[in-house]
Amino acid sequence: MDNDLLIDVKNLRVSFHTDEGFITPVDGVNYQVRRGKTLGIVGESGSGKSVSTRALTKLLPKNAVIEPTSQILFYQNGAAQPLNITPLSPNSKEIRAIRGGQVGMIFQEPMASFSPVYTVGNQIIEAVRQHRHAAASPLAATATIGSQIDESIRAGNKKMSKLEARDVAVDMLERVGIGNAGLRVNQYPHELSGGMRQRAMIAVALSTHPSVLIADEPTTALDVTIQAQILELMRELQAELGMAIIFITHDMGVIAQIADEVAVMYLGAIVERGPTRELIEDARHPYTRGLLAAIPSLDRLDTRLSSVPGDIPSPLERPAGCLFHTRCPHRIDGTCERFAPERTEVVPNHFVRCHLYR
Amino acid sequence: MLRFLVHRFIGLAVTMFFVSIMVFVIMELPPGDYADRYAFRKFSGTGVNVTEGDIENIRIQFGLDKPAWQRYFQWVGGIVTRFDFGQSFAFETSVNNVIGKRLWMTLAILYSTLVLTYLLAIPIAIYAAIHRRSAVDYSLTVLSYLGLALPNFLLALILLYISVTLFGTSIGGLFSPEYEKAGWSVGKALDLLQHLIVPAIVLAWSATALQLQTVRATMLDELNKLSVTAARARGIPEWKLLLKYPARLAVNPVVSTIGFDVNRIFSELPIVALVLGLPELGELLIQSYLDLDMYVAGAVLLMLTFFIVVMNFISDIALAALDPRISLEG
Repeated sequence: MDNDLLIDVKNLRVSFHTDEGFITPVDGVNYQVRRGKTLGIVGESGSGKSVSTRALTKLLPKNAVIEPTSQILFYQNGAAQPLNITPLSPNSKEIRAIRGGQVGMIFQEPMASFSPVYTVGNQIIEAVRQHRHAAASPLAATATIGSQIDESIRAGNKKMSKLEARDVAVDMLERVGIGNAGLRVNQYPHELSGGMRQRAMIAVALSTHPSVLIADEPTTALDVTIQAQILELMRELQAELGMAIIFITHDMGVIAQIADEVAVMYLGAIVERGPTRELIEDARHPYTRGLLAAIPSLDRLDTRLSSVPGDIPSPLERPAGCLFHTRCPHRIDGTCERFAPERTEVVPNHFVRCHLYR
Repeated sequence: MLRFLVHRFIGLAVTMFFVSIMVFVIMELPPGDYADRYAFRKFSGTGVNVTEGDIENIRIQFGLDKPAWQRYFQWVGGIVTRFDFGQSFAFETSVNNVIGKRLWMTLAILYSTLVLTYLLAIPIAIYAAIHRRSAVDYSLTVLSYLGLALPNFLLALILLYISVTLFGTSIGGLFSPEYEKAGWSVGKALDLLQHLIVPAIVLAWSATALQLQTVRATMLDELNKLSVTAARARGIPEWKLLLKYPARLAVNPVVSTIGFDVNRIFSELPIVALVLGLPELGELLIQSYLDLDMYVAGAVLLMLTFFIVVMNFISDIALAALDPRISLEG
């Protein structure tokens, strides 16, 4: 039994009812989230990377449907059986306990993810009081995350007082490297700098001690030096708290710095997945290779920056056969446009969906 | 915050100064003055021959012979130091006496209209935005277009008819005859409230329709904000986060346009008051223009603009209290 397994996603299929028709931005995705590990999900806009992770907390628009055949299994502490959240309503108590409680989220725009009319502290305290309970020793840094929260919920403890929650907030802001936290806690988001806001957002997400942190392009809106600092901070906090991270980005360079395992998504499917080093050094799928070649490098200053040719097709016109065949430089005529490739394990733990590796 | 208040207060005082000059200029604009009118009224038909000299005497008697700037300072000085708005020529008593009760009635109508507008528009619009594209949302849109399209004097007549035929209540005026002269009592207050309902509905009608659309649009905008998704991702119960995040910001445009609403209510009030027979300032304003009773007209104009300016001041402060991004720039 895999003790570090936190979330197991099997055959995830998400559809949207839109005015133009029925689209399926995520179709048959499988991935696992493990304690202390970082799963990187890479893909272009519209590849379904955000939708496939937001499904974990059912944080999808009203017109979205998670197909009932999908399985989203949460392995909870002490529970004998994993909890499949697919049939649960997005407004159910269980989902709300998962949101913020087990799964924290940070987003691309740190400014927009805070409400401008409440202090940073207010928004941390809100989360803390929603999920943490009075008796749980505040910020027992060494305790395994997750366990203490579950215990206190079972014990039926009262809500944490505002004062206690404020202490947690100050402590958390200090931990994410915000100086003068006692003062910052009473400030409004517009009074913080961009990098500090993203740190504060991480503080909000981690203040409830989630076992999984979903980071949806958290560094895209930041400049490079701040980006490096935030990545470093996330690595430190992961080492300290042991949570799993799902890191979504379109930037292969960032993924190489932070992820243990990478999944490359294209048009709602994972086309290649493997350990980061292995995948970057020995990418198999033509799409992954294209993405890697598109990273600017000082060694290739004299050649033009390459890009993956063509545009990602509209989700309304998903190609038959291999999803990538319309843009693939290694297309095998007569095969790729007719048959969808099966998943192949090229070396242990390195999977690819491509007819070139049958 | 204090600095902000002081700033805004100075702004208010400066605005009132300019408004008083404008009002005085307007008072001076009509051809002829009250002396002519007085002489005409007093002696026409009596066969007395009125000479220029007689009119000049009347002018001196009323103090109208002095230069305009002197009369301006006398007028403003009286208002500021003694709260004395001068003499009404037509009523032959002080302006304060003429305006007296009408001022309170105007304020009663104004505030009941505002309260009714906001009580209706804000919750309904928030509900409609959350349940976008539902039957409730669509029917509200139709209703609010009706609200914008229907002239309010017509609505006043319809409501007058309905309330008299269906409920048998006397709805014109602000008091039933038995309370008209009586002192203040609970019964009288209730009677006033009952009479305020129709004017409040009539005046709130279009404002509610407009604010409904504004709040609904802002709310829809706010609902899609990342901060709302972020709060949802923290596991905050849906109704709680809707009230705390989008709803609070959806109220902002309403708060910032309180002054506009007051302005519109004052502009529509005279016509509605005429139809419903309400003793209030707008009707008096029209009457005083007809009589060239300039000090009454000036006092009414000054008071109405004063309330608009004050309500703007209040809306500024309320907005600053609601939105922390504002007060800092004070």
